[in-house]
Amino acid sequence: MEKVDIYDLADFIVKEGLKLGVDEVAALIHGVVKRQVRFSNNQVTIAKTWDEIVAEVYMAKNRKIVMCTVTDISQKSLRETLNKLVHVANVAKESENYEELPEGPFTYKSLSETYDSKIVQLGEQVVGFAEEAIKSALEAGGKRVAGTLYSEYGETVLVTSRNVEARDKGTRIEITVRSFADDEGVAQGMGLSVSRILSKFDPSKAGRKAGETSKMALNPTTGKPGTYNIVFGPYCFANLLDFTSMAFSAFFVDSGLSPLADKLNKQIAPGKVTIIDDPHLPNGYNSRSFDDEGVPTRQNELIKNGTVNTFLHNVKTAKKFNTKTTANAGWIVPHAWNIVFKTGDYGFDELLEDVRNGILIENTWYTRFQNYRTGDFSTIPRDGIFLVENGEVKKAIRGIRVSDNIVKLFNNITGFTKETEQVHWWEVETPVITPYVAVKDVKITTATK
Amino acid sequence: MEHEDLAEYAIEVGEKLGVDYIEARLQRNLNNVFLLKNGVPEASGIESSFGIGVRVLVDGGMGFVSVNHFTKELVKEKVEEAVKIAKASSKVRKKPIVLSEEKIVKGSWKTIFRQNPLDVPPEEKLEILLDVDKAILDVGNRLKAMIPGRLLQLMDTYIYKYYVNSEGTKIRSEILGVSGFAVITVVEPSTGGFEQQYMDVGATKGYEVLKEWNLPKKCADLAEILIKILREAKKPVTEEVDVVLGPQIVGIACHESVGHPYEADRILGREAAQAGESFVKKEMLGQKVGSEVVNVVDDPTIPNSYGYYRYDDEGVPARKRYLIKNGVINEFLHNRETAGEFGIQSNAAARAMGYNREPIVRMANTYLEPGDYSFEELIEDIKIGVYMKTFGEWNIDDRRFNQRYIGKEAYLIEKGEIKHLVKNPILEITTPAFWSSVDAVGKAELMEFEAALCGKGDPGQGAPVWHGGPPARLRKIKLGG
Repeated sequence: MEKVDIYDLADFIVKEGLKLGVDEVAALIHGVVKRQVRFSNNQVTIAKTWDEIVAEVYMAKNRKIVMCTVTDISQKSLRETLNKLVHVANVAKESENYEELPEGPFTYKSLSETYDSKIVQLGEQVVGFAEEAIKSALEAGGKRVAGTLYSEYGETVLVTSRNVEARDKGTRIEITVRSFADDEGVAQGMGLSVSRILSKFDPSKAGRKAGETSKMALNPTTGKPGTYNIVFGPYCFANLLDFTSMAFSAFFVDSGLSPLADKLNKQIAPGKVTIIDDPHLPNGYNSRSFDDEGVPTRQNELIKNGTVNTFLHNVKTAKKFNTKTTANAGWIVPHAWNIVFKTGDYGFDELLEDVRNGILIENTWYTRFQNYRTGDFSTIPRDGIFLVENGEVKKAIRGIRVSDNIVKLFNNITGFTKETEQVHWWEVETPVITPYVAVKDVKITTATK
Repeated sequence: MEHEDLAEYAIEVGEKLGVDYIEARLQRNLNNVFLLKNGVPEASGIESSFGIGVRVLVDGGMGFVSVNHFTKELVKEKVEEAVKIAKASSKVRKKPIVLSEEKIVKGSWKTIFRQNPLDVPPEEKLEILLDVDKAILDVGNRLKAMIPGRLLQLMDTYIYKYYVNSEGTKIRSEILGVSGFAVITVVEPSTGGFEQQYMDVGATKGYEVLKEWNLPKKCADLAEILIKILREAKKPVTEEVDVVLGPQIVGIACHESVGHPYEADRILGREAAQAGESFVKKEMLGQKVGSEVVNVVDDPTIPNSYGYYRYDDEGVPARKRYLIKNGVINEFLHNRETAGEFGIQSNAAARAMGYNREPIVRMANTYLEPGDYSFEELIEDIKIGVYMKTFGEWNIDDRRFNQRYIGKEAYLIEKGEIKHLVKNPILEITTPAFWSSVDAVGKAELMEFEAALCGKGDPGQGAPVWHGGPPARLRKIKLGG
């Protein structure tokens, strides 16, 4: 059948918008073919394929902003939607935060390891990767294995009425493997493999990690409340960094939803901690050469030598904060691309030796904030929780909750490993590359009844 | 609606290819969204999705595809693809998937409403948010507190579905709804302290629901109590006490520690990789898990509720489900796949949030059934205790065994009377201990529901739900955390 050219679609939207009398238009089109294989109890539960085009449209008229996201991309339907949007713009209120879209054209950096034709060619044989992961987890000690595999290829195109034309072609493949080594389901482990190119994708390794961890987690005892030195595994710390990346978004700072609101240029972590947002990372799961306003992306140091260095901006939040865009648009909410925790000099065993006594937490979920402004939160460890005694990983524990403050956590970082892992899964939306991170004096709570 | 013929064509194609079962769902979701941040309209917008999702069962393996461009050629190509991936899946199964036997249904249903949200001019919708913002600021001015964080959203939703399957079921539905949220952050100028709370509203009803909600007053009341918490709340007691939970906390507990662990797909391990499994096992049906006054229900048939539906997304007629009856596990939530595995009929819990999502087991409206206590009777014999009216932070482990709710608006109870506000009391408790500690439940007139979007599935599917109940009393609880 005849395929829709997404560049033509973007161009059509911009021209139609301008015909309707708006001041500016941006059309961001995503065309993607995505495959998923879900598995549980060592067998495939469902395989899925999506073949979709999604159009996001931004228009401004007399400083009033309207937007839409549509999947019905027939010209007739798009015209109707744009007309409705213009009607809304006519009666809406002016946005005090309005700023013109940036004027192009721009030159964009060419990214490496973000496209692999071998992933494009994958068909139903992706089911084989799931089989491979299941086998590997079972061999490593798992009894029941579950998970999700995604592979996708596609293109994102941005066209704006301010002379911006940008294209980004990419591929992705990732697998989440969760292993259970007992019938009750408390001896858990998880493994991931996340990549833009097939040669760096390793479902067996992910399965092995899940299986081994679940085996180690057998026969856990209930943890005790108190204050501990904690070693956060990459999956766990990535979850916390994902939430922290939102705290850097100027939108959330302005909304009263960031604990970093009064921390710009202030030290919140030891001097050895540097965390960047890197949109150009080779094989970065969310690497992109342009932001949603068409500005060429760049590396930004979020925490530089322990100090909050910048918030993340689009042109509108930058105007409000009297600064320049950091190329992190989001038309409304600026966001990070790939969060990278700069590595340390510890090996894993050296980090444990340094911590001596405490708890190793491999993964977490259900992170919730009592107050986003203060940063008070709790999160529930899973997929391997172990006591560390005399610098060694000892017995498994269960039933604990990390109940602390996110800013205090950064302040109390004591060390981190050389080795890092790229993390992206159901509980980590923004890709994070992080080492194992040791934090002192972390509050652990448990059920009282 | 246009393209219904393509949904039926998908069934034809599947049958010609010899599938064991095929269903197609043509679905349009249309949301009109208005967002106001600190009094400034951030953006107004439309979210519209329209397409066909097709699910097939072949040789005991399941495949799902979706398309959002409407040509016969593409539909044919995608059904063929679904068959191909279902066959590949079936090879990595020891046991074939079998769907439960269900009656063939031909029908249609719509939301009952008086004022169609789609007929309300956008400027009126924005005006509502501006009124709410003003009401919040008025509270700040009156009480001499700062309210620097005011994030407000109002959204109306129209969902059209045409569901057809190879057994002959055909159902059309049209759902209208209105929803909104507010996040309010207040600051006490003298100390620089912050308090913050999130609030959700939602119903499948016309715009007349805005009058019932009275959002300006609701949000102003919330801002006022946050300021009071900042200024007046004292440390909570640490000894073992009796606790009375308000409808909001009773509701979230019903949702998190009864609804979720009673989802049969979790019990069978199908969600294990993400949302997790359940501490509840198949063989626990009929087992006592709470005191005799505990009756927890999930009911999609409550008219105008946020979780309302007449037929689920597998064409099964909706009905009320007693999850816990007199403290005993009575029933789990099923779709046709889990019901097939249990050898029973589905109780219509299959929901799909868009054309590009598979139907999975979901809650609808989950609540604690009322008892016969007035609020005064619930607290009259408590010498020392805490009334936790609302919560801020909450979470629960992935087996739904260990949960925590931190009180937001909470009061000391002393000698049977409500006293001063207490700050952040923490109820951290296992599920069996929670439901076994309930010894009294409030009357029907004390029932309240709250709206939420329940998260589950991969890719995620935010399902509109209500949860609620009357206040309930729990004996001998050590607050901590």
